Amino acid sequence: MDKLIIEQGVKTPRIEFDPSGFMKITGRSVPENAIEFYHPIHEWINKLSVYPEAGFKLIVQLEYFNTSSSKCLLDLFRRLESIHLQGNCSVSISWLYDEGDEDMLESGEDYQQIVKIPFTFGKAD
Amino acid sequence: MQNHPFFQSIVFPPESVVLSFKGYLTQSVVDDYLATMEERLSQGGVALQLKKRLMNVAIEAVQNVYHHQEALSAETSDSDGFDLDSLVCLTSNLDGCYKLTTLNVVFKSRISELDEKIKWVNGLDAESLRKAHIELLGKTEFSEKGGAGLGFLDLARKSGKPIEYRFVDINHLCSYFILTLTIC
Repeated sequence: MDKLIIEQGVKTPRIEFDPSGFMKITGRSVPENAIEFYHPIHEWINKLSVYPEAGFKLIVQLEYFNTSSSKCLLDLFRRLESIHLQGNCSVSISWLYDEGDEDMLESGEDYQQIVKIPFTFGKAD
Repeated sequence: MQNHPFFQSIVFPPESVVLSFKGYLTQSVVDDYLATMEERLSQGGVALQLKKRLMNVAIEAVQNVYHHQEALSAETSDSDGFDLDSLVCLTSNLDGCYKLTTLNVVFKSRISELDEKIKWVNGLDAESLRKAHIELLGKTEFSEKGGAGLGFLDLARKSGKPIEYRFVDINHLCSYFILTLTIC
């Protein structure tokens, strides 16, 4: 299966999802219609048939995201949660936020309460 | 066509205006408004957390106005004789707080629903807002427009202050919906 790479747009984040286990979302996610943007990402996850032995690690490093994106991110986390809970492949999420951006940290903690995937939190470079 | 006299009468003290737009809010106006606002806040040396809160609130509020205006435009070309123009204005206060005011036309049939939602949100303290937000995020299905019905909760949470709002009659069919968000 090919890597999924979507370059960063003015209102959409850069996506790099590698079937070998590395996944990263960076930038800002504030499109008016987030469903349209996240559809191919959700589809890519759905098509995964072979899982890496070391599991998946998703790095989320967002500057801003709107409520439309918040639901799409949750949909993405839910798909990964389903893989994680099957027991064959572990998934973890590394939530990175700008130093001093406590609201972004809180947003990550909110997701941690909703999905059953291990989260780690750290400052963005 | 023209705007209602109330719309024409709205004036903000020029010395407090950071960025103001009055007119028909297109997609490119939304993008330009947010980009210019971010640039001005950066140039003004606004602290990171405050700048992020302001931008988060503005992104949500301005996109909301755009969606509502679009939805209304799809149903009617004008509000029974008046333009469907909107307003977005960010002002800065002497106390270091900012106010973002938005105005858009709504059908009167929507007033009770909007009033009910905002009253509920305004009745929640910070912890309850967070709980309600997590609960709704986990449950809500998308509306056709792709939103998650979380808008007012998000605005109240990010601004940290109650949402000020009012409705002003235009005619038998429509009203202006005016929202003011304070961010400190």
